Formats: sequence, C-alpha cells, structure tokens
Amino acid sequence: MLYWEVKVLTRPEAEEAVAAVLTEAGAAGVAVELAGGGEEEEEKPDRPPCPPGSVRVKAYYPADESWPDRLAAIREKLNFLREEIMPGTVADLEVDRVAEEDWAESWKKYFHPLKVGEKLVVVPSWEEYRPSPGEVPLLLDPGMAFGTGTHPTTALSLQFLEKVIRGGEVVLDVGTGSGILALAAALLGAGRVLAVDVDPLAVEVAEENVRLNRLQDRVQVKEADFLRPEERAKVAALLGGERPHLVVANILARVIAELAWPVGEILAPGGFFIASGIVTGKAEMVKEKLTEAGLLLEEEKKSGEWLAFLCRKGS
Amino acid sequence: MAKKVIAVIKLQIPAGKANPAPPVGPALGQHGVNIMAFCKEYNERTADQVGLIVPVEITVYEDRSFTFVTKTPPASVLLKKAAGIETGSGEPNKKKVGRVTRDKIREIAELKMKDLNANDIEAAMRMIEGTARSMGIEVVG
Repeated sequence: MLYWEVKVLTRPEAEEAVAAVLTEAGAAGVAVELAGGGEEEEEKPDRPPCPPGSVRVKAYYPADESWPDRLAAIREKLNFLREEIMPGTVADLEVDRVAEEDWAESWKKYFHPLKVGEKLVVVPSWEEYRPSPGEVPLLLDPGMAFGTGTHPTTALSLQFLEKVIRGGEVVLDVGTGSGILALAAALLGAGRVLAVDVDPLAVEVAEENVRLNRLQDRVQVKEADFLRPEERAKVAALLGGERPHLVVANILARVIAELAWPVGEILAPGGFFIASGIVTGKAEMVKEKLTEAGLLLEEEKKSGEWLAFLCRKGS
Repeated sequence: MAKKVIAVIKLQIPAGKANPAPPVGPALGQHGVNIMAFCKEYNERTADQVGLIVPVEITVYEDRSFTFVTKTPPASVLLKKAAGIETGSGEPNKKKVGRVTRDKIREIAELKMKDLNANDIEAAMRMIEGTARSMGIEVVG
C-alpha cells in the first residue's frame, strides 16, 4: 500500500489550525515535529528537524482515487489560512510518496549486537547471537527508559564496570533506567545488585530486563529517590545493612554533584563510585563535590562531550 | 539517566487505538523508537478515553529510548464540540457550518494554555480563533 505524506512547515501559532485542516481531510491522525526540546532536559536536540521557531505538521493519506480531490481541498484550506486568517505563518505544503513498510518491525534496524567494552555485548532480544569466548552477552530491548547501550555515557560506565568488578561485590545502581548497568554488574560477577530509579516506569522496564537475563536472584529493582534522606534509609534497609562496594550512577552532572555526599556516606571503605553523564563543561564542579565528599578521582574517561569518573573512597 | 534529546514529536491520535500504521509508524520509526512499546503504553494510559483524540508528546533521547506525556485535546475537537458539529466546513472561506462565542474561545484557550506556545491568553485566543475560522466556524460576540 502507498501513502501520500503531506508536510506543512508552520509557525507554532498556526499548528492547531494546520492540524485541523489535515485531520478534517481524513487523516487517521497527525504528527508534529518540533524544533525545540522537551521540558526537563538540559540538552536540546542537536539536529532539529525544522528551523527554530517553527514546527512541521505531517499527515498521511491512502494513495487511492480520492487523493486528487483531497489534495485540492487541503491546498484550498491552507491558502485560506495563509492568506486571510493567519498571514505569514504557514509555508506551502510538500507532498511525498511513502511506501508501506512493516513499521512494527522496521525500527529494529537501528539496533544490533553492540560490543561496548572488552567483554560486554548488548544484544537485542530478537537477535540470535553466538558469543565468542570471553564475551558476556547482555540481553536488552530498547524502550521507555534510558540505557540502550548506544549512548556514550552508558558505554563509559560499562567500561568502568568491567575494570572494577572482580566478583562477589555488593553493587548499588542509582538511576538505573533500563537496568543496563545493574545487569552488566551482575553478569560480570557482582554478588548482589540493588538498582533504584525515581521513575516507576523505569523500574518496570528494568524488572523486565532482569527477567530477560534471568538475573532475578541477584538483581533487585526498587523505586527510590536516593537524593532524599528518608528514601536513602529505605535503600540502606534493602541492602540489609551491608555497605555497597560499588555505586554506579549514569545521570547528569547536576545530579552527580548532589549524589557525591550520600554516595560517600553509604560506600564501604575503599569502595568505588562510577559517575557518568557529565558534560565536559561541568566536570570541574563535579570533581570539587566528589573530593569534598572524600571520593578520590582515580580515572576519567571521555567520549565526545561526555565524561565518566571512577572514584574511590579512602579506606 | 543521562538525557540528550534528538527529537520531540507530537501526535494527535485516537485514544486506546495507537498502532504502527501512519502517522505513528513513519513518525516514530525514523527515530528508531520502539513502536510496539509506545503503542502498548499509550493504549494502556488512554484506555478510559476511547473515542477521544488524546495528543501525546514524545521525547526521543540520543540512545533512542523515549518518554511521553499526554496533552489536552486538539483545538479542532473542542471547537466542534462547542459548535455542536461533527465535521468542519469543506469550504471554510465560503460556507460557514457553525458558530462559537468569544467566551467559548477564551474557555478553550484557557484549557489549552499550558500546551500552546503562547505568551499570554490573547495570543492563545488568536490561535484558537484562527483554527475555528479555518474550519468554517464563525466567532461571534
């Protein structure tokens, strides 16, 4: 089946009106691509799909005999909008042919087994993968929680995990997202891993990934905000009074800075803190906080604009 | 969760009925978003609103993981309801199919204010009024 894709570049004030025109013409829905970022993010899209201050409204119609009339009607209404109602807001429409594809499956082409360190290979669950000797496959389906393995901050954390884990450790993963770092820790030999996240959806996704890797006996996922003292007590209780030998957190510079003290407190003497998600511009600020908290920088790794730190608590 | 955004996409789609057909498939597929995971979660969250259009804003991160939030109904849907009509005019420049009061426009603008890219309520009202006129709905009062 073929579709006609109609795209209209417009200023945001006419977005609703353009969406109305395209929907009224019989589209099953419309999509709007925004140039700007979401609400809570530090970073904005680095490849905005359209010029700043504008949005692109898209709709799809079956390529059948009704198309010429439909297109004429859309054109006429957009002209009316452009010329009489909201002048200067709506560009001319563009039309493209789009062949039907198996959209339920085709997004998977972006994901393949990915070797992220010396041993770890992140493998989507739909791929058959035969690990070479020494490789440790980690099964993971990308979804609604950060950490698919393809982001530099995740890769740097995984590399530090490979370096630090010797076997048998108690590990705490703060801000686990998809659970990827907790799973890696367990697969590399950690004795027990507690993964926490403030987002209940991340907890759900991470639990699913724990099951996928059959690590239920060693990895536990809980909803908790490690930045809040009362919830820290809960985390300590979940660890059964044991102090973690390793804490890993791949979040953002601002959060890492805030985590420095509580992590310094909970770590066993001589324990490690892997801190990732730090943009280069904020590295000094984060280092200062870590040092204040008694966490000594042992090594830093860089990938693009991102840094990860390996720190150690004095024994 | 280190977050770097590669795309923000809004969809106006029927509650509880998201599927990989257009517009969802092509809009999300090009960014490598797990479409089945999105549809499942969207349909679960909007199951009690079936019959309505529930817009959603999806944020795609650099590693192709994503999150989404649902938004207020499209202006066109609220306007049709206010005017008591099923569809807009086929020829909005010539044929008017309904009317709404300015007070109603203000009410809709207030409801949608948080989702509109408007600095003040007057700007929001102009957006809603423009949408009304593009559908052949007259604004009176």
